[in-house]
Amino acid sequence: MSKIVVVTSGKGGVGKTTTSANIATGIALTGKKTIAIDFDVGLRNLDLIMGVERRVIYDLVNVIKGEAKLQQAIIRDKHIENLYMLPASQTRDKDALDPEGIARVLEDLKQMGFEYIICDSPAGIEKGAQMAMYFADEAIVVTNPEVSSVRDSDRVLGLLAAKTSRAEQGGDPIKTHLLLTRYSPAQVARGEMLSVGDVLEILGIPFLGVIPESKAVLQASNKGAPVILDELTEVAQAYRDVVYRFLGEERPHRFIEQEKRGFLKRIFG
Amino acid sequence: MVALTERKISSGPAFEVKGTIAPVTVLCLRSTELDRIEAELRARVEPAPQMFLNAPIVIDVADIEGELDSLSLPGLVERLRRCRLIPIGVAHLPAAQAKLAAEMGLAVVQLGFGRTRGARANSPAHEMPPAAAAAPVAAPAPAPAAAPAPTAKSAPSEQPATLTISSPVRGGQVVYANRTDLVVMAAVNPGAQVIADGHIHIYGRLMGRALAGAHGQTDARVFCQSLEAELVSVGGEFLTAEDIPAKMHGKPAQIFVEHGSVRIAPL
Ligand SMILES: Nc1ncnc2c1ncn2[C@@H]1O[C@H](COP(=O)(O)OP(=O)(O)OP(=O)(O)O)[C@@H](O)[C@H]1O
Ligand SMILES: [Mg+2]
Repeated sequence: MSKIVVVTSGKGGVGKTTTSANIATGIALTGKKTIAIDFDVGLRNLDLIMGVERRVIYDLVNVIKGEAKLQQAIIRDKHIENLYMLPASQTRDKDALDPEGIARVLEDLKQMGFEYIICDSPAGIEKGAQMAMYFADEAIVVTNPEVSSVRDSDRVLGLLAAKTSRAEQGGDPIKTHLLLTRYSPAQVARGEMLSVGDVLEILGIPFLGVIPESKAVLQASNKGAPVILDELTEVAQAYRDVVYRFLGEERPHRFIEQEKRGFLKRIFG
Repeated sequence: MVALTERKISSGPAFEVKGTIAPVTVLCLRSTELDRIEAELRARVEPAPQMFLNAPIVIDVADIEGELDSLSLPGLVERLRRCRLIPIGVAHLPAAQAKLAAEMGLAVVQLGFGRTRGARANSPAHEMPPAAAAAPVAAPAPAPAAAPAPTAKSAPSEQPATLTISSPVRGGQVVYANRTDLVVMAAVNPGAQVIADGHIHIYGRLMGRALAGAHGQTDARVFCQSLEAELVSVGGEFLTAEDIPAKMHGKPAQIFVEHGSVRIAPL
């Protein structure tokens, strides 16, 4: 059984690509054959974050246009078993994507035994984003704790319920999950950011958890190794929790409240 | 072979004739250009497909009497069907053309409400739905997203059953309760728009726009559990977020028209 999962947000720069790379890596680490597909045609960057940019030969558009075989375009991760990726083209634009072509690629991936197919959506609600979500079984809606991001996510939830294959065929609706990224408990405490409760009240969908704001994310992407592999960091632990919750396990929520600061820290802090 | 049940039924008359007034949507043409008509129809129908899907349509030609020769009725019927509407009749058609209509399977319909030929429509409840009536709302482009699946079935008689929505209405979505009331048992999120020809009841936070009496019915009201609206309107009169007093913000409230102006009162 394969699952197609879109990572989407509406608003740009909220952490979709970071999340796609980390969730794909995390799922692969549990032993499931997983592929991450970059749908951000024209702005390739999933391959960078996953550290495979020097091995890109063909891309999603080449495959859709019949210029390369799927097997030629898929890149296998050198360090993590079961992890693969399919890069986006940097030279084409989103018009090169068509639903029939995408359907064929996804069908072939299922035949190849991929259990999880993670689609990294471009920002926006236009064609590129709609193509990335069209065939999804589940959606991870990546949101930052601020008003404009929440509104865009709300908008995207409307599209997921209306402009997707499941919606048009009248099947079960896409299963949606909320992931709050770049979350800073200190800023929430100061009232500078929306709290988990504020966001959940508006979006009203199942909650995967928070990913704290952390410098480790940028450092990891500069290294080309998703931060989830940096086991000692809070972000890595948060992404691991999220992967387990996504796979159906219960995990207590962490990193939501501001840590109680010790006496010395309070003085020298 | 005659089935038992069939014999039972056929013991009485085969049918009964009843007079009724059924809701139909009247398309008051102001142009004979088919492309333009179709484009505008699509802009109106596509944002809220379930409101219009297979809706019966009467084509009213009163306002284009002088240009009737340039209207291709068969062409128009074809365009309407393409928009998944069902043309059932024509109103204000000169007698000479009645035969053409009949050949196309269209009835010649008498419109009520004292609307006389050539007069501007002021029987709002039977005009095409509300983007125009809801003046302050007409500006944004039609929303691409369809509204959450409504649970209403239209009653066979005069007024369609109340439209009930139980999931949040999200930004970009438009819900329209055609000729009836609307009940939303969840939030109306920022950027969402709920419209009804009758009353609107919202049992969640109203953070988007709500327009009751969208065809000018000033006796309609908006009721909500928490008033945080971007805009509320009754019968075409409206208030924006700025006009809503701070002390009413987030409170249960009703909005109605009194002496020609919109009022807000606590519930
Ligand atoms: N938890 C985090 N803490 C700190 N920085 C983060 C975090 N998550 C993402 N970022 C940073 O935010 C920026 C945008 O992240 P990313 O590229 O994943 O977003 P995106 O949603 O894919 O953007 P786009 O819409 O452009 O595709 C990057 O610089 C990334 O390093
Ligand atoms: Mg991205």
